[in-house]
Amino acid sequence: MKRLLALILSIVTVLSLAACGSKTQNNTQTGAQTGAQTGTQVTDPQPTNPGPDSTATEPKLDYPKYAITINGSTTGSTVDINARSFAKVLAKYVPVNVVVNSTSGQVDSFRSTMNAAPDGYTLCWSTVNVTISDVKGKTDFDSVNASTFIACTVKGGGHWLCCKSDFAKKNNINSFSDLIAYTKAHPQELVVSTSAGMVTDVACKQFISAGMDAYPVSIEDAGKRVVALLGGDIDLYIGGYAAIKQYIETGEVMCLCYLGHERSPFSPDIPCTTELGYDLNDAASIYNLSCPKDTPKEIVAYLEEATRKTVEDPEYVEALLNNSSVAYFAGSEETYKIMSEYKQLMIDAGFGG
Amino acid sequence: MEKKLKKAKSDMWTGVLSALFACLYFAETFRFILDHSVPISAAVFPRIIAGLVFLCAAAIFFRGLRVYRTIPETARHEAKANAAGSSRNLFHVLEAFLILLGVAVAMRPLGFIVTMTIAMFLMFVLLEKPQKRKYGLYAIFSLTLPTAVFFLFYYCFSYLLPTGVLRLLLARIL
Amino acid sequence: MSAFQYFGHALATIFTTPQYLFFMLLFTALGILLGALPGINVNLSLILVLPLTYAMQTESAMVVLLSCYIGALSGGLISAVALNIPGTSSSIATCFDGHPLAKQGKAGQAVGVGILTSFVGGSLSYALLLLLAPMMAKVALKFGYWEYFAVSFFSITMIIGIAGDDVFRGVLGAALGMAIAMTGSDPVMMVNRYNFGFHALDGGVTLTALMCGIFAVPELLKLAETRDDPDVEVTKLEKFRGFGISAKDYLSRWKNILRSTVIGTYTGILPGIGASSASLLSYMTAKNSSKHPETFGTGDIDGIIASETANNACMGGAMIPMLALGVPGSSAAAILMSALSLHNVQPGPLVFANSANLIYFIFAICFVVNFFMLVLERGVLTGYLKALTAPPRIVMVIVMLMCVCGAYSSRSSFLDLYVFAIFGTLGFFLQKGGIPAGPIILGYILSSLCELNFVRAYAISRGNVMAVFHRPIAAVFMVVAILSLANSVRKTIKADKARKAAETDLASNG
Repeated sequence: MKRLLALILSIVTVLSLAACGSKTQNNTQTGAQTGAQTGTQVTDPQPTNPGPDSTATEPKLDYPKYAITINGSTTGSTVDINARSFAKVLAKYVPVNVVVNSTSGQVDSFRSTMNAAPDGYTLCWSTVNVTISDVKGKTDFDSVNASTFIACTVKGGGHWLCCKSDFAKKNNINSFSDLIAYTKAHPQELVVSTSAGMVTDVACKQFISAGMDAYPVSIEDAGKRVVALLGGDIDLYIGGYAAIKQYIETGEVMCLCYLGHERSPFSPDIPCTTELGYDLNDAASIYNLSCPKDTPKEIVAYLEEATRKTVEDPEYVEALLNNSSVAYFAGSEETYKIMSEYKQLMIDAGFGG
Repeated sequence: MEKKLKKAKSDMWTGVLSALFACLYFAETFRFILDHSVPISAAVFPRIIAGLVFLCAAAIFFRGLRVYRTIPETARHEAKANAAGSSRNLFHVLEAFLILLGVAVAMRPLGFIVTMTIAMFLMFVLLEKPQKRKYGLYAIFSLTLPTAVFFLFYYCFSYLLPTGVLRLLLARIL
Repeated sequence: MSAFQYFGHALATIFTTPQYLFFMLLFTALGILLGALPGINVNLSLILVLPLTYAMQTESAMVVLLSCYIGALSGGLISAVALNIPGTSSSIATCFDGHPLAKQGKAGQAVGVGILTSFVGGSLSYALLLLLAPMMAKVALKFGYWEYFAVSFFSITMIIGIAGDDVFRGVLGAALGMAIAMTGSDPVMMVNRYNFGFHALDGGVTLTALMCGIFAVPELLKLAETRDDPDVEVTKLEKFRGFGISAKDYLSRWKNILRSTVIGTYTGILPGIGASSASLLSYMTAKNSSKHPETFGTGDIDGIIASETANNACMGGAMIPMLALGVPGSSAAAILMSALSLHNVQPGPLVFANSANLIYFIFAICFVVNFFMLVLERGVLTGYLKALTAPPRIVMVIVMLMCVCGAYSSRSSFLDLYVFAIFGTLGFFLQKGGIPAGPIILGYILSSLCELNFVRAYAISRGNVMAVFHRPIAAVFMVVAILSLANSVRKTIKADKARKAAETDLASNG
């Protein structure tokens, strides 16, 4: 029994040492102080949400009192990384910690959040992939109306179409048009990566509708698609720029085009499909933050404001740029409109299951 | 001989139950909503696995049956008589399982601290012989450990375990 | 600056910055503690610690995460030996020989050897990492989907080797594990399987909840079952010195050590294979190469050496595709990579050119933390083992608490608690029926790898299954796997015939 008590005390001691006092139990810490500590920090209460000692005349919002949890996605995925970047910066604008939970996927996150208490402490970070799953009939909820959108935080990213440089050189492929011509002469010979049920699949179908006669194979992760391209398992890569950027810079990979109406700021030298004469929909990824349906309007407004400040924060903007994404803010109502239109677009484009 | 009989019976039961599982597992594959545009459907691997389970089940069952048939009648009756006491032991197993299931059911409404306090206390009591129980010690462990873990997870790792009925109280403390 | 100059500079920075040394000490200890707790595996340890690094500089964040990672990876062996509950999935193979030694009172020696060999495997792997990282990354590119399928198929056939006396039951266990893995969306086309209309099951059954259930719950239920039986005297923990093995004895097993390091490192380089496969492959290779393979599974030190050397070497290997290709070699490496991304460091082919200081700093952290792990884990070992060998009826309830935490925390899902309870109880009855836990978990892990890679490879080859034999690496693995399978079946039939003959003789003489 003594040994057991000793073990318990040791556990408590060691874990107490690891509690670096990073939690903000009060609102008096400043930004300078937070830099010296570990953990996500939050500093002064915001003017729009006065603390208990404030003399402001607006009715006091008794929120937030403890850590806010954001349901992200699978650990290590792009969505998860974006969620953590967001949480890190959001924590500057709310007086509590913001924690990201890993889940088994975006649909799972959305469902968990939908079923959580509508108290503003459980939020969901998701992308249009949830909407696509909804349209395909793979969810038991309506992705647009089952929750309340707080804000849209990222729009863009986009998809690039790339191939290996030696392949392009060997077959005299210098542009998207050359590729289309090649695939017409060799139908279904080339293998192109897609990602079933995700926005990348939408992008792949767009390229195919332009005349690219390639055989799609689903590979869920951009990093794995890059390895598959370099290893020769696939011939064409469709995906984000961040994963393939360095290989383009070394010359190992050649980028043929960007799916969009105008050139991406991340690759100004790469032509977009519209300027090449192909009228395709850009398969932009839209990240949004949502909460359970019956969350009080005041809490939604508070979170919307905090999100706006986060999206405007240079630290967050820089983090997104490093992942080849662009910060974009849209409020609650506008995000609802964007997501509704996106869902309708997917249905009209025939993605329904 | 008793050991041999026990193994033979175990083999037969394992075989029967596994074969039944394999059949149900295989049958369920026909309810998948498959995407027929892909070269290899999502039902292929589950069917292969069902087949593998069935083959192993059959091999185990027939092995057990073969051994069972070599055991004399008298030995089988003797072993049956000796097996009477085991039902009480399985009752304790059932109780333990119910506690674990109770944890799963109660975690959302009651929260981590309340659920684990009750579960730990019940499990301590269940696992010890009645004459050796130390209720006081169990109460101390059951009250302190879940609470300590809850707060350690929150303050060290910023991870909030389910709060349940204590939500409002914890909101004031955290 | 050359690689060695960068490395030297990094070491100097570490030893002249007290903050780094303090973080290494603290977080290695924390990692060991978390890894040793059943229910909290390496991935969960990293996820729990990750938010602490947000406000830190990149270097400090790397120190914290790598210290926790190396500590947790090695800490898993303590509960694997003492409780027969692997702290991490990569310690499953350690249970096979570690726990039998613990039952003989030699838990200290078993863990001591595990700590020492973890250190050696890790160090050798980090040395390879330092010298050859960019070159070794090219190896990962030579492995396509057929190669991955062949390796995972080969690993599945290896499970037969750990099935124990009863091969059929072992294979049945592995098949049941594979069956459980099929729950949820299929890995390629997202078709829902075995969710019975419950969308909560779309994400499938998580490894943490399943492992906690299959290993920990049967131990708990066994105690419940034997509650009214007379108390069994617990074997006393034997005293041991150092790491429980002499230097001469340890070095005499150099072949096993080197081979396990190579298997671990090589497996780590291949994204997606994982440390659990590495330790299993290494264990089976050691068993097949041993002069006394029958001693494996009864407390053979070589089994522990093979498993623990490989799983720590795998960590070094997994860093290679992560840093040089930007593709994580394991799920823990994925967490490390997300931490790097959060600090605006982009791994990939240019990382050695653009961020050489940081990369060699990471290598230096690995070396130094490995040493901290060796000292700290040995330091707390005696006390920890004494605590774990306290009355099991108290210890197991506390283990239950940690397993519930771990099962829930892995993806914040209440469903995982049901998985823990139901599959755990199922595991109890399966073990009563002679089906061990190890093959079930290994079948679960390998099955999704096998299916995912086969389906992709099949699609890319347009349905030509024989394409696997057109690729040299894949062909070798497939041929070896098929021969190994045929050999196991032959041995089983032979053993069965011999048993029948012995029974017939006994009956006729009887």
